[in-house]
Amino acid sequence: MEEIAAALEASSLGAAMRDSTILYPIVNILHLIGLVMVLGGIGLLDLRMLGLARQLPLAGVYGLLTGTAVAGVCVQMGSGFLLFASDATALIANDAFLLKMLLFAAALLNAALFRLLWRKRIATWDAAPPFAGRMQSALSLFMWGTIGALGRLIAYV
Amino acid sequence: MHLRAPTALVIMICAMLLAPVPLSAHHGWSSYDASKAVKVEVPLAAVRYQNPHGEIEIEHEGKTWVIVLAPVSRMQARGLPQDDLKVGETVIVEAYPRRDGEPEMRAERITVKGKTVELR
Repeated sequence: MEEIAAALEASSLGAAMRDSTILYPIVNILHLIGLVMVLGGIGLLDLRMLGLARQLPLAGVYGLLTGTAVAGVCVQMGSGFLLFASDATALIANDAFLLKMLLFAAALLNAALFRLLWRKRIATWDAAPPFAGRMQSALSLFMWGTIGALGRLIAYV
Repeated sequence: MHLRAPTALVIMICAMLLAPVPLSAHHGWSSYDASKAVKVEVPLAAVRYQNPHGEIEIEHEGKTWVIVLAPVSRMQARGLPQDDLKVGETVIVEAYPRRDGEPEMRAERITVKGKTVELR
């Protein structure tokens, strides 16, 4: 793990992220936009699944917000990898970063499982929402919010 | 089971509040002790002019200290280009040591070749 991080940090990609004046700030801003997309996508979807804004038809909302969240996760993985490359050896020893990665994996698994289990029940969700599904939505909201908070805290632990 | 909007909001707020709090700060100004400000004139032992923030190393009181400067764009904008920071060059650093005792300080300002640059 340390070797991989050291190699990545020493790579031309890591060097470019550190040495360029504008690259790091640009990628940093992209990572912020991606966070807004993730929370605005999956966070709002979770709230809708929990019963908020029932006047909005779930059939339309589900696709829109899932797409926004998936696009956001893609932005986060790309920009996050670049930020990681700039300072990899310090980051793999950073508790906030490690917990964030653990929660990120768990949140992705939860989202995939949610889709697998409940996608066919979207049409009847509001009439008969499954309890387990709603617990997954609440858990999702908690995990993605915490992931965002942990990202911000990496520089402070 | 139907949750009402307020219930959902309560769940969301609880989720935010449960986010872990860091045990010790590192890069924020609060993790450095401004009441123990250090002002030294020393030669630069090492220079890393890089993002997310530049760093220099100095020898001070028998230890090698890492001095955290500022993001590259800020140093450039305030008149501290890479060429001004050379290993061996004597500079005046005003900085605050970390509260946890690690040999690291955050610089308030640095004077190179008679020119003082604010870094906060």
